[in-house]
Amino acid sequence: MMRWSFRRPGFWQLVFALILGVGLYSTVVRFTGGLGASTALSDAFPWGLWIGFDVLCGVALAAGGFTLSAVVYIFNVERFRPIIRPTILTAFLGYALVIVALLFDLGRPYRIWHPLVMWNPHSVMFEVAWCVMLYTTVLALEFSPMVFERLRLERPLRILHALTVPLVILGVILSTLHQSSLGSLYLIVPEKLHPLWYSPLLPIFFFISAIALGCAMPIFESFLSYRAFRKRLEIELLADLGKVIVVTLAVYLVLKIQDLAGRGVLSRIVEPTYEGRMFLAEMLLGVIGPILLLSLRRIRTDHFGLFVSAVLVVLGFIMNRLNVSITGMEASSGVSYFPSWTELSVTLMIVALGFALFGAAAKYLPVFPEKERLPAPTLVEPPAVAVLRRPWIGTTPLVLILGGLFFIGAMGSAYSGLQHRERALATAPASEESEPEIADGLERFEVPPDVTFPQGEASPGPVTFRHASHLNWERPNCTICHHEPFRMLKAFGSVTASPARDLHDERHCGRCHDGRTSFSVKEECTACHRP
Amino acid sequence: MVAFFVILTIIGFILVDSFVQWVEARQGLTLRRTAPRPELVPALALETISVPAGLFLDEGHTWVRLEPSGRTLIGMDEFVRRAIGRVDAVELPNVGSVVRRGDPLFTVTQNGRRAVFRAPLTGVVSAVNENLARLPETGRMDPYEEGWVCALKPKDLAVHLRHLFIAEEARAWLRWETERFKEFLTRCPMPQSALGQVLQDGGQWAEGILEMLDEAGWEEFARTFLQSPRSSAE
Repeated sequence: MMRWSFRRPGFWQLVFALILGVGLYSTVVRFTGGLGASTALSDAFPWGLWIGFDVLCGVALAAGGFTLSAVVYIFNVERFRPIIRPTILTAFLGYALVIVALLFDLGRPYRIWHPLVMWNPHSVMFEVAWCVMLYTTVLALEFSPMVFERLRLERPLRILHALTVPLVILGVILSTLHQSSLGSLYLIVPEKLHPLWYSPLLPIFFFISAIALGCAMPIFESFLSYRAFRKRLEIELLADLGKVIVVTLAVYLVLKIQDLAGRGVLSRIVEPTYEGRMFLAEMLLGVIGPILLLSLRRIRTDHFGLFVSAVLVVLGFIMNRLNVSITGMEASSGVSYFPSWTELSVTLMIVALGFALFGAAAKYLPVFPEKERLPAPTLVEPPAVAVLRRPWIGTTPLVLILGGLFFIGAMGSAYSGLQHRERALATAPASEESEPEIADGLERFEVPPDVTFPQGEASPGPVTFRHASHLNWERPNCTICHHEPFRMLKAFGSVTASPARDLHDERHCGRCHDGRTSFSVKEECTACHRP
Repeated sequence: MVAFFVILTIIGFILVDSFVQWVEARQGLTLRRTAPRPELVPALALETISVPAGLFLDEGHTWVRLEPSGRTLIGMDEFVRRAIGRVDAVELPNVGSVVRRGDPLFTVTQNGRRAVFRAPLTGVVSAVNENLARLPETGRMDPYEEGWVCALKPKDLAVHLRHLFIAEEARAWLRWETERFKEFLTRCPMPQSALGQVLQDGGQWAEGILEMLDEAGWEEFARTFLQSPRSSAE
């Protein structure tokens, strides 16, 4: 082990130093110049990469922690115990880094403690803030035995050991709340988020996908630990997690389709729009692809196959969160958002810090059971090379073809989405200036039936509104009335139900019957009220 | 846009890392060829080598596990696995090929030196452990489970089983083999060892001791330990 400490820096150490350097510079820019100087964010687009990737995906890193600890400590499936410590470590680091990212993103980070004393239980943000604080504390406690073991502190270790189960239960509850409350956060923007992603079920989707990711992360992590520390792979355990992923993702897929169909937007998936294509990419990459790959036993029990499937799940998940937080918001915001280099470098720095801290913890703390370490760090042929050397043996080509197919399909779909967006942006200004051209379809244009408003108190008679006589037949335009005074469909119910409401005011008939555009409501009553 | 960009960045990092691993592995191979290993490695006594009582061992240092279906799993035993140490590649047999007891079945390569393992049984290869092809170190800690090499659909199983050792017999044979291995080591020149020849002074051999032998030593090892002498009789 000793020879590791005296080696000249490897490739990734140099990359890490570079990322850290640029990231620190960006940090200085952020905290001296403010958000406006350092980010591409604006009032129209206030949440960008830091929230979409650092916070939403950082929290999801922790999903492995609550899923596996629930499985081991609450459902008592003991065989997963060997991989629980690395996942708890990841969860803890994930939350710690989420807080770092929040400090960057909050306009006034020194007020981060305010929710502690200034309670606003009506705000979703309040729940999110408390979940972050409490769950980070719980994770720190769950992680601390590794530190105490290293320091050989028996007393705190015994206390924590006694507290394990209550802590785990608390952690599972808080994590469930938090994963779903991040979805609830987007429930407050129904008019901003694209209907492919906006759904009343958003918290449930966030939760289910977090469980799927919670099973994929330990697989991904195990491969990283294998690569970095030559740790043995518990392939049977991981293959079982693969099975759980299939079931979870299948539930997610069915719910998603039901939800889209129920809200009547199922057909918008295949529409050639930016959002439609990005949605398709997300589903191919993170849901359909992994379900197919992992349902095959050959692929599930194969090192390379399992790794590729787990990567697909993780990428699809990241894509989902970024679609909810960024892609789905772009159209309604009216601006194009792409993160500035400061945002990118800070994000890279946070991710790199995560890797470095995990590496340091794995080196100095008892994260992996001791007997699992190989006697000496031995280099094996990297999988990528072995794949190239013997490409046509058994499962490998199958994994390459299937995984490649889904990945390229998803990326192709996303790319075509970008093209649609560019085309839409190029044509958008022209269409904004001209009114909607209903006249183009005049041959098939039909006016809705007449509407009779019942006679109210002190009214000279009932009013029958005729669409046909309120229309410029040369150039019919519904939006003159129907974008504001009389909202379509919904208005009938409310108008007839409450005749007391004054339809004479300038939000209704009075808007045009003002004596200028047309005769005034104050003059000829019988023109409308026919007894 | 952002989602697309982030996904491609992550994939980019994974691909770069594959390349870095590849370069490191190549450098590592050349380094090991030129320099002796400086670190201390733990000595191995026979007691630390497990001999599962339910497995059949062959004189060519392969093990055989019978499954209720009649299929047999085959791998190399822990003694030889520990002696070899690092494995750079395992050449697996082709699925569907017919092998006779004593035929070459699979080959282990280290630094370009090869050790050919002979088939302990006659039959048709029905499956191979593909993980070994990609990650040749698979099963280093667990040669009897994770380190299985191939599965055989055997022919004349009852006849061939008589040549294999099981339980007490296997343990006694392996003890004998360990002694024979020590004798063999005293005869071997070890140009890569920092200390030179010391086994005569007493002691145990270390894991991966074969990494220190030269080509001639490996040939001698294969001739002495991996042949199945009774194979020609079938």
